[in-house]
Amino acid sequence: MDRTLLLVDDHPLFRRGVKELILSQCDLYDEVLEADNGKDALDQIHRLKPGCVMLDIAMPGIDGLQTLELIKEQLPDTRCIIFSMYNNTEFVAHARNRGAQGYILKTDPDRIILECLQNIMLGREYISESISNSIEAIVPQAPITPEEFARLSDREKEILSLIAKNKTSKEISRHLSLSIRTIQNHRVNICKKLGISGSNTLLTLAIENQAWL
Amino acid sequence: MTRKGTSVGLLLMIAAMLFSAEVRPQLEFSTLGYHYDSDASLSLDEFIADIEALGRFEPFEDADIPVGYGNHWLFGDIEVRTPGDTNQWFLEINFPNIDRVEAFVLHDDGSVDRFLVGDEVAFNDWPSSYRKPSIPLSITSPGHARIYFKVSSETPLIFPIQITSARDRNIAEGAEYFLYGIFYGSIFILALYNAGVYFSLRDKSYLYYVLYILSFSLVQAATTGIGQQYLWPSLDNATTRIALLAIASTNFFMILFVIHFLDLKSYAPNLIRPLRWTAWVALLCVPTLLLPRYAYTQYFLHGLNLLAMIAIGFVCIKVFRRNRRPTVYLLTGYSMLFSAIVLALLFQASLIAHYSYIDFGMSAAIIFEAIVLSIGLSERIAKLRVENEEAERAQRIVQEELSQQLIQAREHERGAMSKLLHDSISHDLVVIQKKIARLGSAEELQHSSLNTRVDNISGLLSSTINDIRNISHLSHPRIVKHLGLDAALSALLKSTFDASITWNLYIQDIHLDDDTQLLLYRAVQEATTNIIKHAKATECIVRLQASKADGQVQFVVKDDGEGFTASSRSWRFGLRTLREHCKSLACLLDVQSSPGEGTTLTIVLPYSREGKPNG
Repeated sequence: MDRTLLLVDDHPLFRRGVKELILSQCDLYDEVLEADNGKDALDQIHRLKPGCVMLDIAMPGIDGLQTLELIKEQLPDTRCIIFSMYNNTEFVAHARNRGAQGYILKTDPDRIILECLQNIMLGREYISESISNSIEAIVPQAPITPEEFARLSDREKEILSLIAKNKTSKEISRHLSLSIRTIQNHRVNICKKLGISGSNTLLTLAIENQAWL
Repeated sequence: MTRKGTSVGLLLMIAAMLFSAEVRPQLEFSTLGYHYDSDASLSLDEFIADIEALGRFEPFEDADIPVGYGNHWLFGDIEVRTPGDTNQWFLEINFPNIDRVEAFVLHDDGSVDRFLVGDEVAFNDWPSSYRKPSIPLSITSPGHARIYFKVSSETPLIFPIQITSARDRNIAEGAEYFLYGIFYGSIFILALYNAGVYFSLRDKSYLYYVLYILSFSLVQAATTGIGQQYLWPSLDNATTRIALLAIASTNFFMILFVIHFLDLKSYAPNLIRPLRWTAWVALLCVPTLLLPRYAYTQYFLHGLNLLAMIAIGFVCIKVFRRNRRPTVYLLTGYSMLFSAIVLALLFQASLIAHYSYIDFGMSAAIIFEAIVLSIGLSERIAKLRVENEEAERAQRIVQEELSQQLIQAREHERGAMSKLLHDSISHDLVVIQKKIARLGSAEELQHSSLNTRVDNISGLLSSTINDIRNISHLSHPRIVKHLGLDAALSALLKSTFDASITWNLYIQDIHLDDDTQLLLYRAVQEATTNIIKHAKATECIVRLQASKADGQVQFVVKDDGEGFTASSRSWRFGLRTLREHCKSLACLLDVQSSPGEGTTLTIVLPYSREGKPNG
């Protein structure tokens, strides 16, 4: 039932407002179903197969992101929009990673909501303009192969193994009798050689690949 | 103070007593008799005339300790048979508390020497400066002197007399003062020691012990004549009253001491009140000593003393089973004292000869008791210390539990508040905002000035919603719940640090409960705040990992900054809260920091590698 939309939110007054908006100003959907928690939502999705689901994140029981994960697991074709008060980019990134097509804020004007519904219907992704400009795409880190590790010099491997041991650059420089500057250059080079972006993941990388060092 | 010390002291004292008894020459009365002069009306001449008549006197031979009441005339013919060429003798009255003794020495040539001694006369005016009232005699040995005494006393009278040569008396005096030196010295040391203990421990039994033994030694000083010789030599009519005052205060402090020493508060609380009353009644007798007659006060105090001792004996029996050790000490001390008193009474009743043993016996008993009780008290120190430590520990545990509960309660309350703000209030506001926005876009309002006002209200609501969202997040980071610790910490670090600080985060996938995740989030909040404010760090590492060796789960927040400095006082406060927070979740917090070496904060979690709580 492509022309059915399921609105999942634990706030009835809010649901009513959105429902009214969609029914009166959006010609994409004939029917707006309501659910006030994730369990009820999954139940209705299985029974009624709505074309689109709008999910709030903060809900009692299983939250919106968990519900999203379950929906994508059980019925991957269902289009999902996260419709939340949270404007942290982490939420957006996580929602996208779990397969959400859209992310809009409850504080967004009606115009945005309608725009989003239209875009989703056309098979595009949509993120509210009030957050989209600050989004950093999360590129899942591909596992590093032994060959890639082989590209690292011995010194770089040594530094990586020290990073895995919780050493700060300062401590590493003291340990290897090198300047901090040099260590920082090495770190940048390691990232380059392994093709990883952002030095924040270097520790994770070092710990997870300790076997190669 | 050891038991060995006690027994050595006692042996020394007994040896010295025997020695001093040895050097005393015995005097012999060829004739001795007494006459009861009820109204003190007889003059010396009448008395001598009466002796001539002889009918009214009752001679006694053996008893050198006549006992009686009121006014007496005593007379005796004294033969001095001691070989040697000395002619200077002293006739000593072995009882310092006699009110008044008039001695008439009739020489062979018919001349009469008159001497006045006793409590009525200040020590300074006595004919001989010795602690006991004594009369100087000049008799050439072998010789003969005739002495008459006119004795008056308000209370039962004991009149033990003996004659000593000046040389022997010097020797005896030396021995006596040596013994009294030991006695008062020991009392002084014990009092000083226990007073010191009192001032450091503030346990009242020590104070009462000190006052008790000082009072008791004052009794001893008054009844042996040491007091009038050294403490109040210029006072007349003082010795007996001071002795009674000291008896009253001894009684008072003894009872208070027993109450505290035996811990009657916990073992026999119902006995405290009658004992206290007895003590206070003893003290109430004191003003009556200012009256011209002291006899009734003396009888009353002696009676009260007896009563108190019986009461204390009863108390000992009552608490013996539950508070054994102090009771044993008390009973040991008292049994010695009690035997000394019984012996003294027997001496006084002239059942046993050698009256001078009484003083030394009593002194020995007092010292013995003082030492035994002091040993008992020293055991109390250990007991008190243990009790104090236990009380402190219990209090600390209560405080810790309280602050941990407070921290948990605060977190839960913040959670509830944040939920209310986020889920309810801000949604309501959003609904209101939307309604207003729709109102503004209605046909009727287009191109009207109301439209701008509606927009203003809408904008105001937007910023209110934003504020509420921020407050909600600060009071309870719900991001942890929705996104998990890893993402939440990543967001936190990203928003806290700018490009000048490199940060690295590794969170092993271990299942932690919500409260623990929140704790770790708070720990990072605390640490990062410090790094920004004080540490001047360039790097921060946050890491949660189970150790490969023992599966212990550790959370580490490390920076390469300045470490603790003087400016990090607020950080210390934050740490204290964090430590309590950790304890409330059975986690251990450890902070390593030294100036210039950065700070490492480690939390050891009660989890195993699989994310199951340990223990």
